Amino acid sequence: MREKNAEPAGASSDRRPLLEIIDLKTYFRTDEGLARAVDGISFSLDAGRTLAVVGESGCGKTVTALSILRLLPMPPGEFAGGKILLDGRNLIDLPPRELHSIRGGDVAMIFQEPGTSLNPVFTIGNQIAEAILLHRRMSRSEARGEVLRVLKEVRMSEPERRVHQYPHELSGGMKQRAMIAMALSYNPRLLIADEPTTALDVTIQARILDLLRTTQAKHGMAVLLITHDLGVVAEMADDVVVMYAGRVVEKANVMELFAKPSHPYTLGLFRSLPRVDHESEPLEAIAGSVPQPTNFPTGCRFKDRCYAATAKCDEEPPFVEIAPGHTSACWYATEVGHGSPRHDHAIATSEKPISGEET
Amino acid sequence: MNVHLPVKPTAPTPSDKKPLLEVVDLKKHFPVRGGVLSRVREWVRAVDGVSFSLERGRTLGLVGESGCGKTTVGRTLLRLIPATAGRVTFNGEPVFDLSRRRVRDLRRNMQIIFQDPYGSLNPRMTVGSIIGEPLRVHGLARGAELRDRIGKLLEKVGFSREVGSRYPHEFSGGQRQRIGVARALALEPNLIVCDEPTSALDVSIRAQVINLLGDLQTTGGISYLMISHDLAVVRHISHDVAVMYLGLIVERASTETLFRHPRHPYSRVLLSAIPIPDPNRHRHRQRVVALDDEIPSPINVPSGCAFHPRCPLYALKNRPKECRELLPELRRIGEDSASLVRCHFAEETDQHLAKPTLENKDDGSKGSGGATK
Repeated sequence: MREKNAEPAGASSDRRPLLEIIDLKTYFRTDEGLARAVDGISFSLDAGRTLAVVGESGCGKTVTALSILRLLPMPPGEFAGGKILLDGRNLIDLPPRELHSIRGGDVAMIFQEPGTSLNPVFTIGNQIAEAILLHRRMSRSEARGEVLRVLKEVRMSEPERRVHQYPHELSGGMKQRAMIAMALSYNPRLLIADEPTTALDVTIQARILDLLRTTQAKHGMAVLLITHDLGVVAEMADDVVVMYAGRVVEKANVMELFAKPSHPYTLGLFRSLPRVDHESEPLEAIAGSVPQPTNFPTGCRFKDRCYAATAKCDEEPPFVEIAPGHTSACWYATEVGHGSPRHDHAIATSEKPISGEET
Repeated sequence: MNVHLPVKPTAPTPSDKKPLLEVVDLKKHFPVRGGVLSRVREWVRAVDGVSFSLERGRTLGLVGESGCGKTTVGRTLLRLIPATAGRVTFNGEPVFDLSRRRVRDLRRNMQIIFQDPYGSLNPRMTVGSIIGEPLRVHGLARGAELRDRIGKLLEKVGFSREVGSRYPHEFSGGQRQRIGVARALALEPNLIVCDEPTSALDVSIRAQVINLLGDLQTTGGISYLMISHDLAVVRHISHDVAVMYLGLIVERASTETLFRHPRHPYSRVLLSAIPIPDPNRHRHRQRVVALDDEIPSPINVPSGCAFHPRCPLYALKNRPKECRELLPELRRIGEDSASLVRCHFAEETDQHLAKPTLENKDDGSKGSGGATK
């Protein structure tokens, strides 16, 4: 099993990160107004590392992922600012032709619903071969051999039979294996995985996560893992970015984040999580619900749901450094969450009652 | 919601020992039709002989992966779909023998909460009329009394009375699910079948619904059949758990027994697959893995024990004949009389397969680690 170290594995800290997102703003013009889905986020990912972007629906994590590959329809979407640097090259300025060499070249992506990303009228073998031929110089028969090789690499059962099958003939787990095979066939340096196991059963999820880990180790890929599941984060990530309402609220190494969550939202996520590894304790739900992206509050966007909010939270909170590499966007970051996330209840004494008023 | 009642209330010692719900050998087979005459070509054995009972004020978790039949169990016992065979007794009444009118009375006491809080609320009705509908249909309240009861139900699930005049689209997923709970509560049922009630919800919202269900059980003594693939939710709110695989219960035990010491090889595979939200735990964990990722189709259920083609214990024991040929009984195991397991070799699970070691301070040995990694 791979060790997760506090220090970046192998990479020296002065090297340029593989992926660097600087103050990215991705907005959408909607009938309800301007939706600031991603609103000034920054993080970076080193080669060979796994960064999990975690958050609930509408926090902007998927828009972040799609922004990197510029897979968003524009309009209604638009880049309102910021940079996405892959090896120092800003993907936002890239002309369409060069973009093509990034997608399915340096960067591959797998999605939550492998069924919808595969073309139903072509066989699995055909689709993977197509992807290979698009980016690598080889003959059709060589490509066929390569298809079998990648299917074996992702431990697809009976690969010789699968190449002739259509997506509907495969189970969800097999389809996701096929998607990973397709992604690996480009030999990407960055794999973006958007909720790759959310649609799968738990035993299949475990197998796919194992597969992602082993292939990552073998190829030295960086993985940007988009997920809502803190269990998956704990298993997979080296570093974690927590997003809320289009912003990054906390960034840390995975051990650090789970040991010392330092944003009230992160702490709230932990405390509202039913645990499979403990006997039941009462859950502390976060009051209210996520604000609409057309109507985010000013200042701290979590303040309306936060047990610790004060008048100061109407101002934009700064990023406070908790420990080297661990930052939290909260005025009171240093006071949040001493001790373990579950057993310190001292701070959450003034939880607001849940009401229907927030709609 | 400041003060939380105990998560799992200890059930009141039942004065009459009779369970609220008793399910005996329930079967549901769906026909697969084909050809010009759409003849029945084969049968999907979705539920193939499920038995369990549920006492008042308690929660039974029914877990398993897609296609195991857990959802079909819930719908069949509520008579939302007809059963193929079996017997269900609710409050002493034989559910499958009742006339349609009696079924309607029965439904007053048995309600269901669905997974999808978007699909299960009529978008053209106000929240108030959605919640009041069961009361109207059963002729239990009207006029001012109806409005009052709707208001009380809204308050019970954490809303103010005023939201009754709004429409479902004005609410978030978690709020809609609470509306679904209010509707299920309207008739003051004894049993609520919860079919993946929190799967569509975000973490922070999920906790609101889970707490609500727990509080209602403590105050109202409701029983829940909690159908879910989310084992963390099930551990959190169930007193007992039944694990299903291909139409059958393969293990049933008290929640703590099941999570600490599962005996069926499939339960071990399932529990050891759950990602634990603790990066330290993950490193020291041994996984028990099934031999094949793919669950066989319920059209062609394997002979003998349905799990044998994927079973790590079967492989480690050099493929004993009984596993292939003989369907194991659901039998008692261990000191706890409530623990039942459907495996010929359940006594040897510990010897060959690692425990799921979910807890930090897990008791007992780690097992030999035979089929683990």
